[in-house]
Amino acid sequence: MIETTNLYKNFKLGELEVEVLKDINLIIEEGEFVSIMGPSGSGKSTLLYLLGGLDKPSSGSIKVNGKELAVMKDKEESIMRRRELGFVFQFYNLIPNLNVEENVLLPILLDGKAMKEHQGDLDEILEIVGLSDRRKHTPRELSGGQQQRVAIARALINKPEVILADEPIGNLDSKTGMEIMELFKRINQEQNKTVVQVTHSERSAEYGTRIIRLKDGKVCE
Amino acid sequence: MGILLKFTLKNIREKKFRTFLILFSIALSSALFFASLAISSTVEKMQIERLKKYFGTAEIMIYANHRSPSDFFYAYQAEQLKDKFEYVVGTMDMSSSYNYSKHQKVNIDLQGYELDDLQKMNPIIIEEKAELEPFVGNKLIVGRADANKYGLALGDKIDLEVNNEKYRFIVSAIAVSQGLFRPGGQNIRAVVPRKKLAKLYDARGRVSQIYLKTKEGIGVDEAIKSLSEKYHRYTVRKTVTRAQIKEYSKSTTAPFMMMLPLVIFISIFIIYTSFKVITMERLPMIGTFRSIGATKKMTNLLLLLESFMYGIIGGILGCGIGFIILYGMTNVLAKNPWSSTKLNAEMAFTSTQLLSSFLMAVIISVISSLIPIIKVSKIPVKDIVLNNIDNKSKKRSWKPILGVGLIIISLIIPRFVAGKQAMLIDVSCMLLVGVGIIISIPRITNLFVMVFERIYTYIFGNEGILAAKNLRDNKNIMNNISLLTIGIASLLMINTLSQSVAIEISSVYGDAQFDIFMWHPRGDRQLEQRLRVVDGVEETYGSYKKWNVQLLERDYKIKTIYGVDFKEYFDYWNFDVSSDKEEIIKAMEEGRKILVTNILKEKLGIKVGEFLTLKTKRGRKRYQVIGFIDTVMRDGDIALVPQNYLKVDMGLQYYGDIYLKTSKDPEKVKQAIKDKFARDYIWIDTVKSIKTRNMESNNQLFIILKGFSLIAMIIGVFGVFNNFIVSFISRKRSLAVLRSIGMSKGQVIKMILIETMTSGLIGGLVGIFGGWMFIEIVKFVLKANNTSLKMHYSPTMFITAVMLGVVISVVASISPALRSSKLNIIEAIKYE
Repeated sequence: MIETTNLYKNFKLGELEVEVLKDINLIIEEGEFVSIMGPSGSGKSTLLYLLGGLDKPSSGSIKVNGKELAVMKDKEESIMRRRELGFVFQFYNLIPNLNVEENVLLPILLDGKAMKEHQGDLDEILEIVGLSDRRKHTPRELSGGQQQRVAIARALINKPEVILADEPIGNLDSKTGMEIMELFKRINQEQNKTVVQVTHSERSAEYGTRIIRLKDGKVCE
Repeated sequence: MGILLKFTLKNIREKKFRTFLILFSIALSSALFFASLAISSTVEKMQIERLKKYFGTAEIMIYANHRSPSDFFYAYQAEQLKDKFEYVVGTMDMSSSYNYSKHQKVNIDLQGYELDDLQKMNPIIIEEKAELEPFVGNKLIVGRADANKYGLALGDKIDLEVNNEKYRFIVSAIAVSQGLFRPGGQNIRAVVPRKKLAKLYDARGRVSQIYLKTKEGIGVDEAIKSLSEKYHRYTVRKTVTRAQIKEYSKSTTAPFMMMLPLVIFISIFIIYTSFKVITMERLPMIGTFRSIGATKKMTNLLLLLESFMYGIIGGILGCGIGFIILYGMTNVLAKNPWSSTKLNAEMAFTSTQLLSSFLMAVIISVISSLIPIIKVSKIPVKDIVLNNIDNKSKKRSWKPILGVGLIIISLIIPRFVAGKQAMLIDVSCMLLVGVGIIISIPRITNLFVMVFERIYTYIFGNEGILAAKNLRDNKNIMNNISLLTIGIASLLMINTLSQSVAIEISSVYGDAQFDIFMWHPRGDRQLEQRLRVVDGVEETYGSYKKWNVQLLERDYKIKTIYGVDFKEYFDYWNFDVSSDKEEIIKAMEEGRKILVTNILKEKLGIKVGEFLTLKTKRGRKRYQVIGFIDTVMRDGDIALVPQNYLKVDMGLQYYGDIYLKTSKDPEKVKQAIKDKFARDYIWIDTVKSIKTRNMESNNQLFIILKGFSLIAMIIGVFGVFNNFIVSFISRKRSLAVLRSIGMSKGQVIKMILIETMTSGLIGGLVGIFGGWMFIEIVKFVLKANNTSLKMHYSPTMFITAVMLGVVISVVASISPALRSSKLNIIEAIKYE
């Protein structure tokens, strides 16, 4: 499903060249729920963004569904992001002037499909994330937990096989956080979606099927 | 304080484009303010210079009229009163013509002076001379410009034709082309010894005019009274009054004063919006200052200091740019279409004007920044430090109501105000309409978006829908639409005005069914007979004319009343008349009847059948209104009455205007008449060239006005550029999110271009609407200025305006759109 080989990522910090990821070799299979953990600065978010094609590696290769990211053009990469991947961020990252429905349907819109045809999917997903009664609200009218549910719904609408989540509960209180993790677990188990999350919290990592630990840019186990 | 100043300066330097934009708006506003103030003193000076050509510093003049026993008289009676006057200058004049090539001749007005007298009254500067003194005999002085034009050199002997006889003069001096020798007018002027002219006229010892200047402490009116006693059969009057000059300069400068508020308005808007961004950016700094014990007053002061500095720098720059603009304006106005020679443009301004422009800059800067500063100072420190600021603007439902209310009120009020305050109120209404539109723009935009959202699905696909949705409640885009709206509206207003003036001038001359206009001091039937024998003259017609006739019931002076023979008059002026011309001609034979223009009808509320009492030389005379004519001739301030009554009531002897129909090229006929009447002081021109020059002279004014509205538009365009950049910065995160969920670079660019095209379209469409409203109010501004103008709207101009809005908007967004597509997704998403 997702495979990295000899993956390196360097950042320039002023004059210094910092190696953030060093020789990462990973295979994530379909239906896995993987949690990437590690201390601050260990490179876990960078790894997630590389897997999602939001950033380019310094060397090495990443394959998603057998396709090599490095050779993809912007358009192909964008299409992959909207059809095969779903992103969930710590700060929800919703578009403030669009309402819940519109935010959720964004990937559909970007894919050039008619919103009407996806009304059924929308209803179903809003039901799953429990926001059926909030569909006309704008993000600023929702709580943090609700906003994150909208982000998850958005990640699911195009029925991607992989969900990438960057500290999805990092900005939520623990009760709401656990509810969100339950939701991920359900999605993973009921819909057989592959979930890759970056997290600090052991508790949330336990919802997954596997934990990958990073330290100083390397996989520890 | 030093550290605060340093801090503020650093802030100003940090955002170079924004600093430039703010300074640019302030500087241009204060520059235009300065130019508008100074142009009035410049125009006054120009006018004084123009009049100096004729009168120098003289305040009083005496000349013969038709009651006088002779055209010439003695100056000694005036000289008896010489302790009252600085000088008493007697002059002679004579018209002559000069063949400067085989077939071309020019008329030369010979001015007979004693050289000493001339230097006292209207000093000339001699550039070169040869045996000028003693100034007697057949010596002649010409101006440099005329000498160059007609190839005259020092020592040349030239033959001037006076009354079919030739007299030889020697060019004994060439003077600088100013004062008396200032170019302009139909004829050139030359100074010759007074006694020489007196000899030619056989009027030795006598003069044809006397010019006088009173000594300090002597009243001009009082002096005129004592002179009138001595010269009771002659005309004794003031050469020119200060009030006349003021009136003249007022009519030229009023339009600039009208444009100025609009420019200032746009600047205030830009400074206000920029400061909104500045205050938001400074919030963390304000939070830090406040959390370590700075008072609200101190942080407010810091921001105010910044706007104050912008004001000071902008003011200094503005005064500099103001000079350049004033220089340009003066140059444009100095080009006199009634003369082929360009005048030296001389600026005139006072230090008060300079100082007030500088202060204006500081004031608009501080005032425009005040509201954002006050708003920020109300945010609690805790919220600033915790970044808990609610950025959402509450939808205030009263805002659109207020906006629409302001628009409606501003459109209605000018209809009901009259008198001295009308001008001020009308201009204020224009500004209020602008404010009303800006307040209503969010609601108007949302309405447009609702429509576009549906259409765009079909045209642009889903990116179109997204773009339309993004326009909703987007403050930066609202600001852009506002700027475009006001800029386009003022451009449209000025262009419609200038086009309407052009069309109306054409239509005045379109009514003229003759080819040549003429005035002769002794125009009568005999003169007509002499004219008719000139080759090419087919028909002639003379009408009587009386200026400034008091209308008693309405405390109004009609600018010109013509006494005409209606049977013939309509063959020369084909005005549209409210009723049948035949009936009018018949009615006119039945007594004192009057036709007034539609403009006067509206201005004074005149009705058919009512009697207008005119103040005449023979007392009050009642004329009955029998209809209305449609013309804007002389600003539409004219009336027509039967000629026999005007002649009797006003004691008129000679025609005021003579119209000629020709069977040959009017220019040639004009020249033939000029030659024939070379000795007389006539004024003659073809209708065609009067029309052209009228157009040109109006164009001068409109070139400058268009410049004003263009500057307003330029400030607006820079504002739009700035807003797009600000918009890009504030939307970085949203754009990155869209990229992260699969929006391609191409889609980003497409979406942004659709957004900006739409905002340009909305700006253009609302701008048209605003322009129309401005014009509706301008009609009343003109009315308050005693002018009336029928507006002609041009669909092409309006369509161009919309396209302009779209083009500006799209061009301004190209750079932000490219930057958006290249943005680093992770950076924009990850970091707050």
